Amino acid sequence: MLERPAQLLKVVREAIDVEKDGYHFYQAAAARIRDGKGKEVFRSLAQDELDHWQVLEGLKQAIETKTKFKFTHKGKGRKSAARSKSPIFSAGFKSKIKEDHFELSALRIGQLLERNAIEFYGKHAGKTKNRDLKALFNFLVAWEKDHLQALVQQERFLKGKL
Amino acid sequence: MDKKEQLLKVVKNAIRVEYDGYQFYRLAEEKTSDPKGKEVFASLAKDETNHMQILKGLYQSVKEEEEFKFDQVKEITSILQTTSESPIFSKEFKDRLDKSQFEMTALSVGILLEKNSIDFYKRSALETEEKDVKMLFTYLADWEGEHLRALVNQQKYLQEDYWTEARLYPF
Repeated sequence: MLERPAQLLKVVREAIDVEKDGYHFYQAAAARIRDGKGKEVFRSLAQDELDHWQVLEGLKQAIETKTKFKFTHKGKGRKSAARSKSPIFSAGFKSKIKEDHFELSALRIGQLLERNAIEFYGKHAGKTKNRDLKALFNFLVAWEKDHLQALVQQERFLKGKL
Repeated sequence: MDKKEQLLKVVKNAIRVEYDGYQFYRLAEEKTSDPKGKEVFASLAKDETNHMQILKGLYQSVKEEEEFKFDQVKEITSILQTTSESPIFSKEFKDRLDKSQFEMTALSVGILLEKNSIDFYKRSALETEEKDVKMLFTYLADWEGEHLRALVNQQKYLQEDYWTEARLYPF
């Protein structure tokens, strides 16, 4: 169980690292990607991770100052992109891409990061009895799953499987 | 799917795994400000290119139904000092850590990629019946294991100071 503050603080720090890695990776990838829409979506993925990081910093602070943490982040506020066939890159980008492009690697590395985040939050959501914390971790699982779905879908589209 | 097609699929996936590593280490090389880090990331990218070449050779052999011999593969040669406490970045880099947040991500992502490769090669080595292919996959798993050790050691060396830094947030 995660109820001891020292244990909880360790998990929250690890969670911050997970978000930080996502943020820095998507930022760096956005700078390298040539497709205009791709650039924009990778920046938006980075922004999502930054938002999560910020929420987690609030939680960290609450633990450190021994104040009550209240999870109030309700909606995602942005429409999920995962429903589109080409949720990340412009549809025209498909004709320019070959098997060996940075963009395909960026999609696969992104998937690895999202799977890692989903596994991490899912594991720790199951370990805590704190209702707000469980809600936060489950909320993050759902959001990262949305990212993962968009990345998987985009890779399949570029490889001609959609 | 027959055995040949199955093996071709596995080798193609292996090439992708190496290609993603290559692309990521090139990105890390480009983004890091530490000269030693640049050199080591370039060398990691070169290792992944070498692995890709070996795998492309294997792909060709399987496709042409020619015999693939593992002894064509060279010994593991790397500039990595895996046992050093700072095998990737210069020791002075630790003092500049507050300005170098991408580098910590480069280590974490590198670790994820290497673990993913090792799992993939170990699983593929178990699944293949070809002796030389099994040996090659085991050899690649070992080589990626060397990369992983260096990345983990470097992360450990930097992590403590990283967390004691006052504020590292971009917001």
